[in-house]
Amino acid sequence: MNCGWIYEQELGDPEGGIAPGTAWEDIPDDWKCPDCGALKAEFDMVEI
Amino acid sequence: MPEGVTPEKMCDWDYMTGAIAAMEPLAPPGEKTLYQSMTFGWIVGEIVRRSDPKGRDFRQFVLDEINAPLGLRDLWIGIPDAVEDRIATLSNRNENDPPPPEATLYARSMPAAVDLVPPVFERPDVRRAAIAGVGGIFNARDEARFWAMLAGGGELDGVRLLSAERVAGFSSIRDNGDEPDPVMFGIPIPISIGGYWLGGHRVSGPRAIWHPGAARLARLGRPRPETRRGRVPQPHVQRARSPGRPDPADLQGGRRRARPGVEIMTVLPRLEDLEDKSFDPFLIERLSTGNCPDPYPRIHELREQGPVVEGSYRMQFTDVPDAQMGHLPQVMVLGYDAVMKVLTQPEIFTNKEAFENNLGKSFGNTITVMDAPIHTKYRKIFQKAFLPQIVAQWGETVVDPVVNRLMGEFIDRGEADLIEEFTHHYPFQVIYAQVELDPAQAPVFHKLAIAQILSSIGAPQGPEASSKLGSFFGELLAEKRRNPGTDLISHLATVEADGERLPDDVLVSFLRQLMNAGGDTTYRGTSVLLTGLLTHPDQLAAVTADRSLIPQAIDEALRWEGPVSSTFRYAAQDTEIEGVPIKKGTYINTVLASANRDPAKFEDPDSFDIFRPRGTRHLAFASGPHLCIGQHLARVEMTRALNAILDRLPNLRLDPDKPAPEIKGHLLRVPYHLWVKFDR
Repeated sequence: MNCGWIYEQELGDPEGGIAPGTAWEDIPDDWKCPDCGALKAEFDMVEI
Repeated sequence: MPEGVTPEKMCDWDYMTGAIAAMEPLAPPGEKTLYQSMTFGWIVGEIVRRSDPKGRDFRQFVLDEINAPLGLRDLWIGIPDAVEDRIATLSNRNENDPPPPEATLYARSMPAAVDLVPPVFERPDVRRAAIAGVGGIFNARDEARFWAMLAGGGELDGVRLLSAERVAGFSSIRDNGDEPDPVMFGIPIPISIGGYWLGGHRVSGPRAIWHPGAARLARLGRPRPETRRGRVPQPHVQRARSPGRPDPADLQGGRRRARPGVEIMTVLPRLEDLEDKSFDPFLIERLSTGNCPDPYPRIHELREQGPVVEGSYRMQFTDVPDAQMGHLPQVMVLGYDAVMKVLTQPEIFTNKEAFENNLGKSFGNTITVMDAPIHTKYRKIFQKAFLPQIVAQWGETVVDPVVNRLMGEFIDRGEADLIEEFTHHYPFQVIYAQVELDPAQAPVFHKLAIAQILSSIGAPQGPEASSKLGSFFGELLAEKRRNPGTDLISHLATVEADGERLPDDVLVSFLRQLMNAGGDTTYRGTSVLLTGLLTHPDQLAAVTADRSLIPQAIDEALRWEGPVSSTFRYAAQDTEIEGVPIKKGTYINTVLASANRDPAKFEDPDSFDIFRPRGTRHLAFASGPHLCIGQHLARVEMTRALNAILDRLPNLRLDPDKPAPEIKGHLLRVPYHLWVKFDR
């Protein structure tokens, strides 16, 4: 909710150590948004 | 001006000319001219006096050689007693403006003791003295006749005062006209031979000469007919008085807010133009970004010196002192990894101190000037309005109509300048649509938005513009809260997070910043995207055939020529970057352009290649908590614009008969023209 970056499960975040296909629940809490550095806790689940 | 000048001394011609003659020149005599505000009158006047075979003083010379032949009765460089009761009273509408920084040459050229304010210029002795640079007193008729003589090539009603050749010379720029002028805050000022300013955005035409004026003093008297628009130039003398009593409407800034009897609630707020309607912020703004054709060789050299290099980014490209930041300790941080470290450690590298004296002055309390925790709180609320799924809806409803309207103006011609006719307008018009601006007010809105940023160089029009936009947005917010719609302003005016609304000052500041942060950057980014594609026809052909390449074309354009080359952060504690210590209190020039052209991250970084591997994110939108809040909107706008161009301008190509596009500027980059041809 800080920068609008959207996590897509099929793509994951390979540069941040998150393999494609990783479910949101399985991402560690210390992972950060690759664009703005927001913590996982600062993300919201939004319907698109 | 001479040190210790007073109003009394200013009235003494011999004292002033002697004291000015004794001053050390800023440049060797005969080499160049620099901006002169007040001293111009004494220097020119004394040259006249000494070279006149009759040895007349300047006041008398003007009466004999200008007034008499042109039939002027009320144009005075020093009034006689008889006209005093016909002189209108001056008022100062800018008295709450902050003065320009004392140390600047600009402030020293117009010291406080003799400032252009009523306590000085209403004095009977000052009215009577020959202060030709700023003290002319005349009525509109005679001023107009003087300019009519110039417009007639030196002749009026059969009387010739100047040769046509001499007057034509006034339209030629002085030799050093494109050099930064240290008296005018290090901005190149297009002053012509003879001391006039050349035409610009507001006063156009190859023969146009004018002077923007000091804008400190109100012109009173009966409202003038609108004769100033178009090609009528401005007087060099910076104030005009005309006989008669002041009109109360004039005292309110020339425009009444609402007619009596009209209920304010039903009226969207009006914008007030700058007092000095001829002031041209576009010219100053364009000149201040410089015209450096290619900063990248120097950026590569600096990066090769290490991740942290002493000095300021700006000073790599200009020798002119920086009045705002020049005295502060500065380093440049260069290279992708080092820049990322600055941007993603906001607790060490802060924004508040970095921006409060520049952007903060222009826009107020914006999220750019905040750090956590307050930044986190407000950013989240604003971001809600700019989430990808929100801005995607604006593509069709807001962006497409603007794009189609602009393209309709040139599509039948088979040729166009895509900068002047398209990219320089569309993102701003998207904003006008968002704030539901009356189209008639758009030029004033754009002008005020650009003028705001001139606060950082001490121009009095900066705070004036900020204040006027602030009033406008304040009223607009109040109206939208009463009658909310689905537009951006209604959304921001009513949105809540954790049960709290945005405070008005934060909201108004954000809206003030919108034109610059959201209009100017998108204009530059789109211009660069089109330039990259048009100068690489194979890539243009690929994108034309396969529109799914558009996202990577946009990202490559922003990497290759990001609109903003460098941004600031402030070291809030002693720290280090890649082992190089940085002291607390250092201002960090965070050179985004060096990250985006770092050969360690991007192979052959200087080439434009939309097919390069997409592993590393570019930093054109920065990174970390202050990452561009409008990036998703920018992408929507650029995508819509490019699609429309590819759809509707078949066989698009550079115009072979026009100069190739050149991207210019060391800080904010853009090509000034992009001439294209296409099939009709």
